[in-house]
Amino acid sequence: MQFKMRLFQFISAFLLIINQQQIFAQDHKLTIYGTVQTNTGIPIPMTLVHIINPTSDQYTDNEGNYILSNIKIRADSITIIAYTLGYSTLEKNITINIHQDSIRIDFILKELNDTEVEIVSNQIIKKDEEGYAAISIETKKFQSQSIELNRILDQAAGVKVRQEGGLGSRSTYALNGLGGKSVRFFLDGIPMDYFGSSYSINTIPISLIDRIDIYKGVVPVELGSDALGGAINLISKKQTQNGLDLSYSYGSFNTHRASLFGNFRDSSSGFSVKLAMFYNNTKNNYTVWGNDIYTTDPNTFTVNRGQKVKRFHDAFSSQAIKADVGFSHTKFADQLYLGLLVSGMNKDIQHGTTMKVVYGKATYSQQVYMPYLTYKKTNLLVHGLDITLFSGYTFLTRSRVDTSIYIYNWDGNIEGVRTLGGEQSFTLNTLTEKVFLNRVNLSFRINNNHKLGLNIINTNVNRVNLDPLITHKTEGYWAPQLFSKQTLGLVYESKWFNNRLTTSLFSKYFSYSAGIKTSATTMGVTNYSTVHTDASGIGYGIATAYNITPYLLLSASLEKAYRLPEPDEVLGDGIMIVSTTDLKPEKSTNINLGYKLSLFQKKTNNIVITGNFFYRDVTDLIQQWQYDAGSFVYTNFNNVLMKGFDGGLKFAHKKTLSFTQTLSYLQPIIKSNTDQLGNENIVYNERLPNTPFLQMNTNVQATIRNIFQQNAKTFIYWNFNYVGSFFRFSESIGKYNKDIIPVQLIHSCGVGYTFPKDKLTLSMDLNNILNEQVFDNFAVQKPGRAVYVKCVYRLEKKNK
Amino acid sequence: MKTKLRIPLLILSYIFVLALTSSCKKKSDPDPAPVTGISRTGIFSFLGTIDGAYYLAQSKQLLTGNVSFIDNGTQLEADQAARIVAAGDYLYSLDYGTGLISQLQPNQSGGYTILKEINAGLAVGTNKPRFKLADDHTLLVYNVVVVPVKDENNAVIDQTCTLRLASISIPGMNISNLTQFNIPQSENAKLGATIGYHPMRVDAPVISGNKVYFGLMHMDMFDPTTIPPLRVPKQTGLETLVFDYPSFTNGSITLTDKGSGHTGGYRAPSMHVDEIGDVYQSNWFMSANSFDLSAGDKTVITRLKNGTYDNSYDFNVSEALGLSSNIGTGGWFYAGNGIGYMPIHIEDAGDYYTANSWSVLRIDVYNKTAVKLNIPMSQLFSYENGIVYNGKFYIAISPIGGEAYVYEFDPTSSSPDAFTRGLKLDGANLALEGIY
Repeated sequence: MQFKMRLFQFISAFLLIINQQQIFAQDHKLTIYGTVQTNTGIPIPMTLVHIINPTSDQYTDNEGNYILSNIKIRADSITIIAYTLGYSTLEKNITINIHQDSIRIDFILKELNDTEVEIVSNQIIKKDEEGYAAISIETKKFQSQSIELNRILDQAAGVKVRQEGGLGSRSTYALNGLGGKSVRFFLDGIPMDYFGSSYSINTIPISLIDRIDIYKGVVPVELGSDALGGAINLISKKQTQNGLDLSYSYGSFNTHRASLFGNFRDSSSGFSVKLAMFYNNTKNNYTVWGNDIYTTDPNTFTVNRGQKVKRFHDAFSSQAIKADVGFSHTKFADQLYLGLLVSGMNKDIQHGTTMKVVYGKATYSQQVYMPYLTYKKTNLLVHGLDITLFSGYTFLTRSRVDTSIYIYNWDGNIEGVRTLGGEQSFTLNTLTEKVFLNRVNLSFRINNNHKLGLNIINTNVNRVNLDPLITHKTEGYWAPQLFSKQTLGLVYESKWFNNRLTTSLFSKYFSYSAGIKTSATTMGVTNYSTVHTDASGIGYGIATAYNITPYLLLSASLEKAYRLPEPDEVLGDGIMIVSTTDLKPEKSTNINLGYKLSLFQKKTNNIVITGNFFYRDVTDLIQQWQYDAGSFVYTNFNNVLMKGFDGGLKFAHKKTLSFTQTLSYLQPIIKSNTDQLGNENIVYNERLPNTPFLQMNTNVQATIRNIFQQNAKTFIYWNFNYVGSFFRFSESIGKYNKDIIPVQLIHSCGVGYTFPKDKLTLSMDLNNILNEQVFDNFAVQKPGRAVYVKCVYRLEKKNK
Repeated sequence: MKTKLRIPLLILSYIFVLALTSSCKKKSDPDPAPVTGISRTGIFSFLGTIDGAYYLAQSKQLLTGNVSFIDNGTQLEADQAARIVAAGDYLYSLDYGTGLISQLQPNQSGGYTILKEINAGLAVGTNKPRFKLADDHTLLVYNVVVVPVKDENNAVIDQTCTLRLASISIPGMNISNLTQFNIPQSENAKLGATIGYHPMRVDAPVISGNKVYFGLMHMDMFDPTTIPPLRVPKQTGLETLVFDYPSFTNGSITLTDKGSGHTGGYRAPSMHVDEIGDVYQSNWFMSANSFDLSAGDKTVITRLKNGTYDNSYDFNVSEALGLSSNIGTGGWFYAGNGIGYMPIHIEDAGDYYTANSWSVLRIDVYNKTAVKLNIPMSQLFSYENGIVYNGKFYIAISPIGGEAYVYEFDPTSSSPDAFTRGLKLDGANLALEGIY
């Protein structure tokens, strides 16, 4: 009873504070209307016209008209923005006369061209202004390049992508040092965990992605997942015009990459079809060399190191079709789509964790079929209530084929025969996963300054392993294993002091439960049973930003974050890793303090300087532990404290020249003073091994107009990436012959030409110009010098 | 106009400087200055491991001072693990995961120089072979593979166990005697398991006269309820695989009922040849490894002569020690004249893998006596090698949560206190696997 009273008092006091904000000025109701059109007078439908303070928005109709009625005006001016894809965003500040009932505000938007250098201040949008340590990378300026999403990510401050080879090779991602399973991926806010590796950030071409949002450490509630280290959200391409984008690239190592994006919308009924397809194929037969590349004399078995060879069993292909059919921008739904994702990949496996042992036959493949439904509606039932729903069912199969009895050498020749088949491990394993994923996202604008958000994600996984070759596995493992995960997030967003201060207070609840098949034999009778285990955690945090001046934004964010155990960690592998019911979630306290200084915003030359100091205190890391001679289990062990800085400087001269410099520095320190058994930890207070800690990226891009033809555009760019060297194992232990990942110095450049009318762009890219021997991981060489040509063609039917 | 030009110029000069520095700067890993190899006499090598990395460090002392791996020692090539054997002037390091064996010589800087390298794994058809020193001039390298035999209904009815082995003469590192052999399943091994116990590993080979002996590990390989490392081992009798030497022909299994369990040891060797050519073998029979003690079987030493068990010899170590707790071992070290040192797991003292439940016995295989030494309890299941130097035996003892030292044992004394605490080691979670 006492609790209820207190709660009531608290809510009353809270509502009073909110209402006080509205009492500051006397309300004045105004109707704002107008049209949005191109500079040639063509109306632009589906343009979002958005008023800041008070917040209100409306899409333009087919004639480009909009009307915003009964807007409560509390200041003597308003800021109104018109935004649509493919056109420049226009912002206007309009002074309001207190005696006016209505005002007409028209917009003329300029069409954007693919190769134009973006205005730098637009690159970091929205979320960092709410206080999150976020980077938003518009992919527009990269669309004409033969570049993968991985490389774009790697150029961003505080992001490290480590690849185990060429196109399609396994990659790991770290945000401010936290990596592996603690970084989660999303596509338009939907967790990508069960989209399969054939439809992942590693395979999706840049031409299907509009923007990449990167959240470091503190993750907004709408990306509902146990993303302890951060999240990467891919925003897929959306067009309002009917059109077709095609791209094709060919280059070194027999690499082909093709993509298609098509969009159709019937403006009268709203019936819409979206189609995204891609195909990647490469031999990855790049040259590797050095001490780790050896062959063996078949007679004496002596080892000849220092060979220079071409990789011969590293081909990769992936393909996907993603189709959405439904309605958009209708009365009943902003979006209602029934979709189907079909994707697959095939990968040859050239070697294990290092290049020392080479394979010639092992392969990996994967297939995904995922039907899904999406629904999005703003102002559902009541004004201010927005809803987004996603429901998808994934059928995923992963197969490994590794039965060869032949031992290959780096020349690609067979040099011996194994007693038992299997280069990496003798297997014909097929894993089948069926996953039901549901997401509900609700947001409610209480008033112009306060908003509530709710995000719920529920995942149910049912998986079965089958391997006809392995009779040594426990039978309990063959039975389906069940794993379910729920995340629930609540956020309260506010703006204060004339929008100069924004705050987001949030809390997230995570839980998982697993059904593990176990077996036991008593008196010769084997009984199978299912053991249930579960764990949960409540995380919370705040993100806040304050505009000291229009030029300087300070931001701070904090999250008590969790990562739940993964199915593999709980269920074991049935061979060497035993299942466990004891795992707790990994935990971390993540803090970011950032600034953004925008100088000469409206001038010819403008500069944006950003920086972020971060702190991550990770405890209960989930790690594999050998608890018995030959068997392993996952346990919660090790604490790591990470501190560091990442920042950037961006300079733009008109729209013709841009220069970007980023820098990231990380100090990850081991903070467990004992090991699992109670031994003193000899590497306590030492830098975490196998973690890159210093990296820089420099990018210069220029656009020159009217070369050869009037209205044609030529762009050139140069990129330089630096990663400092680091040890694979402990820094302090050992002196000679220590495994080291050497300094990376990679120069890349490119040139492109966009023909007049912006339909066709041809480009050429040169990667790793100096043919440096480059490693992200110990003894796994990445591709050397490579040349690619690319053609981008855009067919568009303008709405008239 | 001037300011407009100045900034692009600044950028261009920046690019120029970056390009210049990057083209001049190459690898950050300069090769150390060449160092000359030194004699192994009087140089003791220590094998340490932490977090999956293996290191070898030198010391000229065994009794005084300390040896630390902090900013000291050489990292070994170890895809998954490194195993060390020492003979004559050199050490031999097996990279378990690539199958390469390298010949190492200590050098003046305190590190080790690789003199020769051979792909021994290729010779026996695996990247993960095992190897041991079979006599002063011979390394044996081997690999056992178990393949299920299925009937027409795809049901597993048997397993075939294939051994591939090769011998490497040292110090020349020449490979010969490439042999493939199907290890037969004895009648005794067929009893009691799901479809019989199968030899899944051989180890600890020794050469004596015209015979070479391999210890065996038998498991119930078709146990559907337990993951392989925890499968049930053979509970009755002891078996050893014997070949004629040097021909590696006439492979056969010799059996005894003097004890039960595995005969191949774990990391420590289970077999040693004494000064007159008799082979003494320990069994591996610990309840912690799924052995069932209810039949009363114990830790024993058996003797082999002329290719068979010598059933006239009987040494029940458990009985001779007379502890109330059962004891188990993974192998032992020979100090000469019938005296050996055997790490033992005292089962009442705790888990064999995660607790300080191990001690060391001085055993006399001629007089059949066993004495537990009063050294600190530690975990010795994975311990690999001790050395005999100037008539004394040396072993590293690293208790969990305690300080680690080298201990010197006096083989001539049967007193439980006949030891001296020597050189200090890093201890902590840096595991010391052997002294060479």
